[in-house]
Amino acid sequence: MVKNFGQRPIYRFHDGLRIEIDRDEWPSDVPLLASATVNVLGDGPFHNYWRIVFLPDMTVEITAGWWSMPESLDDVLKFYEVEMRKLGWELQKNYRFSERRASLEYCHPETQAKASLSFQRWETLNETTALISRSLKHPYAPPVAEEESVEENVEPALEEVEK
Amino acid sequence: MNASNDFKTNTPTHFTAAILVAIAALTVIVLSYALTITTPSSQVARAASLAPGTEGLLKQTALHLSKMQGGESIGGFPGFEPPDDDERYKRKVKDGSASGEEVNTWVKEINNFLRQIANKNPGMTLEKILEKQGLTAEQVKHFSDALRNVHAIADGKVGYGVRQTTFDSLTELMKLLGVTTW
Repeated sequence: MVKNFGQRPIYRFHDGLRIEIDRDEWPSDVPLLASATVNVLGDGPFHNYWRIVFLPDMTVEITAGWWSMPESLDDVLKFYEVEMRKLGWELQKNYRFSERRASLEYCHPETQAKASLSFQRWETLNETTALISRSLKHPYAPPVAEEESVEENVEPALEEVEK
Repeated sequence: MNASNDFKTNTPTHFTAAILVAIAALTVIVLSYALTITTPSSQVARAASLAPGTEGLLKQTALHLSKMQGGESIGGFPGFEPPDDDERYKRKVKDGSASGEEVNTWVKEINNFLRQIANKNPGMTLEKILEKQGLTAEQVKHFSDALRNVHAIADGKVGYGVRQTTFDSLTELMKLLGVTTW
């Protein structure tokens, strides 16, 4: 998934890793408008990322991006409602907090991935931003049984050697 | 003579008026007391269930969340209004053009308020606290979403102005207050 492996900053957190991603590494199951560009803050672009969180019983994979586009908030919402449906996502919640803010939450019935999309209209900039995060939980169980079985096989062999 | 007549004619009138005013005042006091103890207003319930000072801390949290959301009202709390004479600050909030260092400062302030909210209301989730504060389900969602957005933004800015310790504190506090980050 990650191109230029080893040539970009990797941030280590106590429970995981964060790797910055480019637009062409954005998950293909979460569409982007052709006009979407990485949102720029006061001191440079937001660094879209792929984050892996290690938990005792699961690994969580989160992709997050903050995108900016010139389309109106209504047009952006229409785009996502249509395109997410085409890709098989099911809308879970739909909020319109104000004229300038809205959010959509999706779940994919096949992959169980979740997508959370938070939109904001910035009138002074004449643009709409979308803070999008897609998360997927992968169950994890430490391979305890495998280690035990190895020990069971090894111990008699050692006893035989000692004899 | 005139004075005596005035006394005879005015005194009973003044006396009656004074009694009526006293009765009216007493009635108002009794009614307002009865109203306070019988009306299930959210304010009365709030005072009974949330620790003192929580409302102010929630307002402060909302104000700081608002700084990173264009000055929008968050969860029904007033949005952040930069001082009129500070054009640079205004642009920063209205255009969302804060630097990583500024995001770090704002997140630290949010952490400070969240920590106090959690300490004052041990064991309660943020959702429950906001409900008890009288927010509607949509307002609760708006507040929690704003917090999640700030968390995601701070995550992307670690190493670019946001300290990892600041981000880790926010993650821990959100966990403590039952706000999922993904």
